[in-house]
Amino acid sequence: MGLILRLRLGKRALRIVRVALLSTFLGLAVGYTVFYSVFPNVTVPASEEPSLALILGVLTAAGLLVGLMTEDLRLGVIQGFLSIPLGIMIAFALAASPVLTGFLIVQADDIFSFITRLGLPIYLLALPIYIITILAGMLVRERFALRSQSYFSASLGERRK
Amino acid sequence: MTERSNPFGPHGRSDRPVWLFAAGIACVLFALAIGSALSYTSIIVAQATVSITPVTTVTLRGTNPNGTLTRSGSFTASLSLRVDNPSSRVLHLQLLAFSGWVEDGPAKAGLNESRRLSDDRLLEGTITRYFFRVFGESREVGGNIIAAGSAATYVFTYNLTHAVDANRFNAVRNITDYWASAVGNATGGTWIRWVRVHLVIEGVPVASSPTAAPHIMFIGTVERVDGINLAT
Repeated sequence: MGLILRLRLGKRALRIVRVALLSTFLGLAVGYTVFYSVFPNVTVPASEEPSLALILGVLTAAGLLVGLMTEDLRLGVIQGFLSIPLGIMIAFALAASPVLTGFLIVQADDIFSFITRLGLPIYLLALPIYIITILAGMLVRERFALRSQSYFSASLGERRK
Repeated sequence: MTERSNPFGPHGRSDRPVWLFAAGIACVLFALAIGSALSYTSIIVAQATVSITPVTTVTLRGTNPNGTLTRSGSFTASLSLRVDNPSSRVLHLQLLAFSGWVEDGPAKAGLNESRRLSDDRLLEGTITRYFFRVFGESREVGGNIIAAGSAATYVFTYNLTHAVDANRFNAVRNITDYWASAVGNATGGTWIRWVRVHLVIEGVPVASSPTAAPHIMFIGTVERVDGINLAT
């Protein structure tokens, strides 16, 4: 009984870590694209104005990759939703980075509202893109029968029994 | 899924290569984000730390023995502009606006009423001082580079002769004559200058669209002002 409980907890922890990692990856893509859309001429790569192709490219690629690594749709949607607050946090950290040098004397809530307000189109765009591309990635995952390492460990255990 | 229906074996294939690929992409994205933060920080540091030190010298050429200007003489202001750039960004001097005023002694003494009315004024408590604008121009000064973590000095000269602007030159002659007789030195009147420098940070593309957000249009530039602008 105890062993089963420990195994279930281990599986659950693994699932949580997986969701956290994939959400952070999606959040990083959202944070970077938001910062790029707000300050296109200071980001790497720099451009005169934000390129919609680059923004869509980064979000689509991130969503597809996460879809390839996600085992069920429910978790995929949760990851998509979690990526938005994480993206806001990452974009805020990027925008507030000069504060560390002591030369940017701006209130933290001003930077936060700036990033939230100007990044709103990206947040609104990211969610449907993520849901569609995660779904597409999952279909590719099924098509090529991709399985996680834990699946192989579990099936090996079953075969041993 | 049976072995026959699945071409990738009874249990499928491992998604580990996808995870490795995603890790690589995540590293690239992370590097881009860090690079962007560093670039943004260096721009903010440049905007906060760049300073200018302008020094102006006034010279009269073609003078009488008492030092006053002749009709064929010239009035030259030489602006030595030192730009200190302690930041890690390379700067380009783009635009220089310079104005110079000389205290209008004849106007103050009531010798020239029309100029007294048109002069720029400096209020010091209850006292009003009158200044005649000798120079007031801005020019593109592209090509002057200030390397990262260094200082550079550039000299710009502004020349006024009868041929350039007869009315202005005659007014300057009148004022310098006054100071020569009043204090014994033709350039003895108070001189006020105002300098505005527009520097461009290298590697920051300037938004060309008129609908671009103001913060995008101005983030790549540094503007410094020195002196008093008496222009009304």
